[in-house]
Amino acid sequence: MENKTILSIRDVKVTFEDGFTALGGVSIDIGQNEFVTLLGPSGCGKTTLLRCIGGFERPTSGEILYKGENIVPLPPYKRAINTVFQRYALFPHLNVAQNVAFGPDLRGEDKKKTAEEVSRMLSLVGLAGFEKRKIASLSGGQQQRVAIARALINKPDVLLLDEPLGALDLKLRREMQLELKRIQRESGITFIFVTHDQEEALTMSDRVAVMRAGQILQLGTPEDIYNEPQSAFVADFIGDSNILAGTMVRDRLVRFLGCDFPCVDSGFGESAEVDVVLRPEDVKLKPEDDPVQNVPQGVVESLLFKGVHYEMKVRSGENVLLVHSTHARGVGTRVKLTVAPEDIQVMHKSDCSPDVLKKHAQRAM
Amino acid sequence: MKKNRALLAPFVLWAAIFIVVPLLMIVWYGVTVEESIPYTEEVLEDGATYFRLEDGTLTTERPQKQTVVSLSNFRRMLEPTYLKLLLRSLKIAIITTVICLLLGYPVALILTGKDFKRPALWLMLIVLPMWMNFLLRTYSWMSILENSGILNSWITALREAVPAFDAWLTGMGVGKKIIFLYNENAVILGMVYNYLSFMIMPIYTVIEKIDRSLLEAAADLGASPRKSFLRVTLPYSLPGVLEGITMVFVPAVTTFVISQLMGGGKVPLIGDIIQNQFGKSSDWHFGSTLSLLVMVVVLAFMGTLNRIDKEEETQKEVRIL
Repeated sequence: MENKTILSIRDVKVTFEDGFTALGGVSIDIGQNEFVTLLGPSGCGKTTLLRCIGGFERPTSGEILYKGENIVPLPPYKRAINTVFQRYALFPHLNVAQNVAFGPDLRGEDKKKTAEEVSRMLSLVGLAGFEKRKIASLSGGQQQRVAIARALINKPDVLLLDEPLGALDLKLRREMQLELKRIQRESGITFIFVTHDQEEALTMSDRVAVMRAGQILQLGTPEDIYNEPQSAFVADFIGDSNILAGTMVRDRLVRFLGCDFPCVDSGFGESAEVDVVLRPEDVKLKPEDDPVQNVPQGVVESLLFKGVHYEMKVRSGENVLLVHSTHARGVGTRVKLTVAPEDIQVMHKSDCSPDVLKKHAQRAM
Repeated sequence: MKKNRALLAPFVLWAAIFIVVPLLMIVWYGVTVEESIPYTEEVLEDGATYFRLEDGTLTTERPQKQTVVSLSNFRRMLEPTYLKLLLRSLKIAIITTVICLLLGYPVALILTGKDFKRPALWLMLIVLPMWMNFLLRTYSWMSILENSGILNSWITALREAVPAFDAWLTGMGVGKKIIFLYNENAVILGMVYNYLSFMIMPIYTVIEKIDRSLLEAAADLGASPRKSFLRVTLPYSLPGVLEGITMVFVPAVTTFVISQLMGGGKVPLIGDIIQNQFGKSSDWHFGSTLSLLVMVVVLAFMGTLNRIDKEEETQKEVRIL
């Protein structure tokens, strides 16, 4: 990490009264001016972690160090951290300017200075001239920006954002993603962003923490997370992927779909059962008469035009693979499948492996 | 829409028969008086009784009282006796309302607290006594407070057990029996007891509906619990407070049972006098006039509350700008 650590979360556990473990010991260091995203499905503990940092939830154990000081005992109003809430939590009885001025007013700051600062904040979030508007008269996107302005005016070192874009339509979402990124760069504030949208996480973040069942499964840059998922869950959650059961023949040689593939992974031991992750765009389709040898064969089962690429489902034996390509192949075409060694991601087996999931499904039936 | 209107018909009929017509009747009774025509009774030679009116005409039928439009009851209403009664009613009702608010608001606030367990159960315990008969409840207070009641017998027992306490009370000039009943305080106690839950319920409902994330947002922006109460909870609960005030004040200003039982007739309120006019005195006309007076007072009061409610809305916007 290139920056100084501003927030250090050390082995934070949260067990609710009913015995449910929302966080099972999470540790993460967050640097100054970093954009960190907590990504995971609902119930993974990402919001609980955010609420611990904000002070709305008290960890059962563990420490949260802010500039080296443990802030766990501090109530929210004593923390130099501000939050943009999931449904904004704007005060409906106050207008836009009063909402934004809520923090400075509480500190008893000069009214005139505050009014100027409010206008500056509103233009920063693209709402110049909205001072006297009622909250109820604003669209979802506008409300969200008021919520951001209301938090930013306090000049926090850390801004927590709890799925702030969840209620917006796709186009507005994209715009706000760029906007938030711009605000974060310009203000120099550390953003901790919670979302279940993997695309959002990859677009905006410096680093992404993928969470599941109260644990951080993988922490890394968006590229790392996408290209080098360390578990089937991460691979499956981040983007489309094909997860296949395979066997590590030896170092740098893995066997799946009935064929041996050279790869770049090692250290799994000989004949180890593994999961193999192939991104749809990394699977290349060759014509049946291509001279390439010792590769699996398949039949195109479906073809969809997706704009930038075609999405095909290719059956090879028991497995159906998702393939993205700019080159369409008709349904029923017999093809050969090839993958470059560096595009094969080999992982240890986990409870998200396809064969394990299948077993669960059978048991459930 | 038309179908919906048809559904309204039973209510409109109900309102017409049981609200509008009686109201008009009260107005009519209020602005009229019964006037008897002066006459003398004469027995003439034929042995029959005749009635001679003032203008000299004779009739065989006893002249009936006549209903005439007159504002004399309004003049009578403004006599100090009745105005004093009205003022006392207002005073007791205001004191009752203030006490209910001071007791009820904290209760509502505590019940809606984040860490409060089972608020529904507690709320039910508060409302439960209200399911019992109103008279029964008030009588039980009387049996607690009367001279040979439970409270006095406990105090007597305590005095006998602790001589110092007895000496202290005697020193304070307190007699052997403490008179709790049949004074204004007893009436106020009876009202507070009977109306408190009408204050708690609306305030509880409003506070309970406040989005908890608003309180979190206030805390997030640096508001201590006290400030967050003043800036979020209090302004939001105001409609509930106003409703609670109405629900307590209006019955308190018009009640007659509580003042009769707890006050023993020594603390007559305007409601008692009105009840008296329809009962013992059987002067429906004056009773109606007084009813109209109380109605005007109550309407003026509710109008003021409504204006406060609206002004508060606009003021909140002006305050910071």
